[in-house]
Amino acid sequence: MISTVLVIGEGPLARAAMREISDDIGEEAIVHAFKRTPDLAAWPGPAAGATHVALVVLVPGEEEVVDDLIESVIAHPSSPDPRILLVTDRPHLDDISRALDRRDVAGVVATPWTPGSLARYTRAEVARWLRLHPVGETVPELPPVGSDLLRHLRLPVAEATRELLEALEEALGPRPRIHLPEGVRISREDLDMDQLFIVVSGRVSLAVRSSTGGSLTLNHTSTGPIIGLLALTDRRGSMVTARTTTPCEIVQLTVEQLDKALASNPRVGAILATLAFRALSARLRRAQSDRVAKTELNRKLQQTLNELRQARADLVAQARMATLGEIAAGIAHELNNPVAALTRTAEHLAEDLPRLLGSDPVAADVLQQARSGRQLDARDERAARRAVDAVVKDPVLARRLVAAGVTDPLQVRRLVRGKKDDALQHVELAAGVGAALHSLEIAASHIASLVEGLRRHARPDSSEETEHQPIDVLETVRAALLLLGHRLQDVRVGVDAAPDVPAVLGASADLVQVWTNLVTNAVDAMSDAGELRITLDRVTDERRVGWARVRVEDNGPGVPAELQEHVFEPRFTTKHGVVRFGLGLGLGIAHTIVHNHHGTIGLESRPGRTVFEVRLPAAEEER
Amino acid sequence: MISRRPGRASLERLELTRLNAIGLLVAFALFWVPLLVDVPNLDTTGERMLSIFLVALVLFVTEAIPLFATAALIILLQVLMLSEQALVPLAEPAGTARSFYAALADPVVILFLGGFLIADGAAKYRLDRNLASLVLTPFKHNARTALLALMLLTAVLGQFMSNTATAATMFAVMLPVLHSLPDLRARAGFALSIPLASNIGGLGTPVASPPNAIAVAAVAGRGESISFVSWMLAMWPLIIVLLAIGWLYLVVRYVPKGLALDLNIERDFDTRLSARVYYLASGLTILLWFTEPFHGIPSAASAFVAVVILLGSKVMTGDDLRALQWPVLWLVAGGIALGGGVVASGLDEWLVGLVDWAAVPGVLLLLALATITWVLGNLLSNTATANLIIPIGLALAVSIGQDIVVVGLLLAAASSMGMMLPVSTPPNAIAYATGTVKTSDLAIMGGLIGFIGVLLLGLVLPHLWVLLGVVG
Amino acid sequence: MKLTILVLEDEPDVRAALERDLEPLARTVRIEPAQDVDDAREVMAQVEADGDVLALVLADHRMPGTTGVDFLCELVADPETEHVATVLVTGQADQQDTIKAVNLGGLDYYIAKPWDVAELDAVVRRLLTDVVERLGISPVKHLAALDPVRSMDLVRHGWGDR
Repeated sequence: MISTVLVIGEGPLARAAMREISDDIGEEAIVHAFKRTPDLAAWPGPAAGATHVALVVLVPGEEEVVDDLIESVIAHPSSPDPRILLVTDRPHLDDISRALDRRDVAGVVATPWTPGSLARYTRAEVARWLRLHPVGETVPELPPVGSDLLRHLRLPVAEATRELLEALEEALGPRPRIHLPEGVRISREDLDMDQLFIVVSGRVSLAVRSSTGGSLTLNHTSTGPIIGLLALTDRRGSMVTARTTTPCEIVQLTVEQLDKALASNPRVGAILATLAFRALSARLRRAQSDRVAKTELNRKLQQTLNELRQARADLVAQARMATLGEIAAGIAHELNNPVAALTRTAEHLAEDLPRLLGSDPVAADVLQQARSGRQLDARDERAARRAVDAVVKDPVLARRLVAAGVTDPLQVRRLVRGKKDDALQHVELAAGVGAALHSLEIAASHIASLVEGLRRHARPDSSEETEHQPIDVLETVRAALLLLGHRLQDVRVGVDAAPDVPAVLGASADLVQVWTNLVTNAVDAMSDAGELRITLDRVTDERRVGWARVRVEDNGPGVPAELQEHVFEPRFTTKHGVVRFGLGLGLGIAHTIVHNHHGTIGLESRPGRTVFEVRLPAAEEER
Repeated sequence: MISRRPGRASLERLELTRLNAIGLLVAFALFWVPLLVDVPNLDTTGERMLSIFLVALVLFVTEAIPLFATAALIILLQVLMLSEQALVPLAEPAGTARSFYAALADPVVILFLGGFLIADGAAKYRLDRNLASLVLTPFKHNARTALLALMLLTAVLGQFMSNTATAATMFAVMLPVLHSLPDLRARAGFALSIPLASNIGGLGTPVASPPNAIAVAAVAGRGESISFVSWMLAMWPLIIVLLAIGWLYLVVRYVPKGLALDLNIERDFDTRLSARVYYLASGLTILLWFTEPFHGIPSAASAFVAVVILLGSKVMTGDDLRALQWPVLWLVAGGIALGGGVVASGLDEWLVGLVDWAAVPGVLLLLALATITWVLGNLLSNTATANLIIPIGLALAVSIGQDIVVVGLLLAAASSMGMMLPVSTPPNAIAYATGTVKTSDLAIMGGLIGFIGVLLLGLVLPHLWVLLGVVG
Repeated sequence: MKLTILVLEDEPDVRAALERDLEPLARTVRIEPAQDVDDAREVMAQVEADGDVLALVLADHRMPGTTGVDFLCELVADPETEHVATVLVTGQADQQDTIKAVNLGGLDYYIAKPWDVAELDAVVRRLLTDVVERLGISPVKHLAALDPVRSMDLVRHGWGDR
């Protein structure tokens, strides 16, 4: 395939270049000449069968800016990436910085040039372009190197070593070959090194002592065949310890012998210089890549360190949570007794006090009523007050009597017959005691339920111990709603049960607990105008297994998407040193119980509609 | 205070209680009786005056319309029935319309006007509270002596301020102190002392309360006169005795020994020029009142001196003038008009002639008069009592040869001593309404003081007055 | 005629506590409890029918249905009830809301829960005195529920000897 070469420029210089190039390369390339770069725009492109533009020989005019010229050249679709030779007679070029930065300029040829050299450069650049843009099988050879230095630099190391030995022996006569086994130290770090070794065969490793006391092997490959060369540079001790790692054949030279060889045979110097140069450049490359590797390593190390730290923190947090859980369970257990005592005491008091008050039926009534915790709504209270006021004719007394729970006009009449103040005080005391009892019982049952929750959380499998019986699910739902009656006053509750809801095997108390927790959760989430819907039915899955399905649906604001997967995780959070069971201790317990019943529990939620769906295997399936 | 909302007119709705309705009906019915039925021994003028008197009696007793409205009604009826402008002309009018209207500007009313302006100035420049602080603070460690100081101060302030204003001022000073007093009985004792002392203090001078003014005017209408000083001379022995008894009673019954008062009334005498002018003007007026026998300037004129100075120096402004208790002045004027009308129409003689007074011993008569007045004073407004009783009482005095000054003093004092019920006097009403005293407290105290007072008035004081040269 | 204080609060316990703390006034002033705004309107109708005068409303901030703030603002805006003193009893002093209510709604006062009994007493007395003054009614029958010092000034100036 024929390459395409452009020569751009006008004037004698351009014409001379055109002539030399087309004379020389005419057979391998088609050379087009243009006077100015804008002429390129009209050029249709390379001839058929020719390559893209491989080389542009640019001869800029006096006033032309080279950067601009080059940019207009590479803008042509047929010359996306040409080699560019600049032929100029300017002594200074200050307008090729952009092109250099892009590495567009392959070379600068100053006029006058040695006749034939422009053609040679052209040839070489075309060959380089073809190597970079291979066409077909053949990759053209670059023209051979003529100078010694470049030749030596391109020789294989062994060859160069051989030539060095030849040159040395020409100057000094034959040198004995020294044969060394593996593990011999040829040079020692920090010891004077006043001789030179030439490794003819075998391998030598270089090592330095590391700051931690061990020895750090630098490498094998970058060890050149000459050991001790660097030490010669400033007559200091050796920088490294060189040790044979295979059996080696070496030649030893004193400084004086080297000196004599260098003086008598200029070839020794040339080869020595190239070898030294090559050894140094090998070590430099090595050092550079080591440095890059080290930086990368450091980065990875830092990352690992961070990960480790995070992992440690997580572990500590987990351990703390686990401990907290243990402690909580322990406390729950320990609380059981005092809570039981509290509850029993409240009951005893509630039984004994009326008996103590036996002579005073009003006070006993008042006490019982206050204990029940029932409160009149404002409308009833006003009516009661009016009725009492009609008897006692004193708004203050009427308010206090009604507040104490005395609303029956008969009782009122009986009360105010005697000493009003004493009677009132008596009744108010009784009401106060009743209210205190009520508070006591409420507090005790609150603690008890908390303790129970903690206990279940700590030992969720305890219900496994109880025998699982076939249970009517609807029954358990009803029981739960009954238990929750006081919390459901502001909520509309509807229960729909299909006739074919299967019985399930389980502990009914546990299931009641599940519904209780789900309903409580729903009620908490809803505002006062909430609507709660519980549906029960039977479903059969794809494996034709029958399930009892219970869906608890509310119209609350819904569970945020990011929380949905976590709602069943029974968890404690510690915020500001306070342990909270915030996010669904109840749901966690429900989850555990359902799981123990071999069932599933799921959540589907969006604002305005949240459904918890529980499936429990039908009893007949488990038998 | 808050001025963002105006008063609500619909609240001023006509409240017509059953008593009001009955009062109006009875008044209307009685009005026609003397006019339609021929009253024996009474000429047409007298019959018309009797109609007016009956209407006034019923309306004062039932308060079917406000007392000051009754007062205005009296004047109106007198003009329309007794004067030369009568709708049905009289052969011999009892007086000119001008003379009936004149009741509204009677010298006694002028005296009162000055007294009111001075009293309101005392409130405006906080003289009353500062005096209270000055007088009470030294006694705060001993509640019993503090009570005595409080009563004396109230009585003295009551000489120049109306009873209501005195009581309100003292309650304003004392209520915060009383609220901090844990002992409820002591609280009640202090709260009782204020109406007691202001009612009794109201006897002290002609300007102290309306009955006094009505008595002064009625006596003057019969050609006699009581000077400011001689009034005080006559009343102060009675005041001191009654205050002493009242104090002993309250101390024994209510205020325990060793009680201290949490009394921190701020005292900040106003020293602005206007305040100093006020002190000077009121001091001068009081001095003129006290020295009347020496210079002869009538007390009403002295009072008007204060009015002129206070208004002229802008120490008291038009607003202050507007805020005066004109209803009280009109009520007094109504009483004066009623008394004047009764005399002018000859109704008094007819009324007195209904009973054969000669059969009644003189001493017993005075005692009976005092008792009746006191009983009425308890049930009615003291001023209304005086309005009704004094014209008749003085006529009686003339007919049986008693000194009219003695009877005037006695009736004024007796009507002021009616203070058994919350409704008897405004100070009582205030004390009761603060919730610190009960009706029974007021009744027992008022009964005790009234009983002793009436005995003293009927049996002792007329002789003392002769001894002191007040009457002669 | 009695002045009436309406205690509008949905929590029975809080309502009872407020009434208890107002007890010193209860022999002089009629005190009526209400649990929501509808209930309050019922009370107002009853008070009117009895010939009494609604003088002051203590309303809770947050309540189901119409809030206390709205109710109080309605009272202020209605010429029939504009004389009524309005007090907001607020639990969570939601600054913005409260400020808005007091400033824009023209409410007279707000009391933070938990309230100080002495403050409540002083505020109620002060506001009742304002109402008496505003309506120009005789303060005498209501003295026991009014500000002791200011009510006596009213007595002095507005209520003469008889």
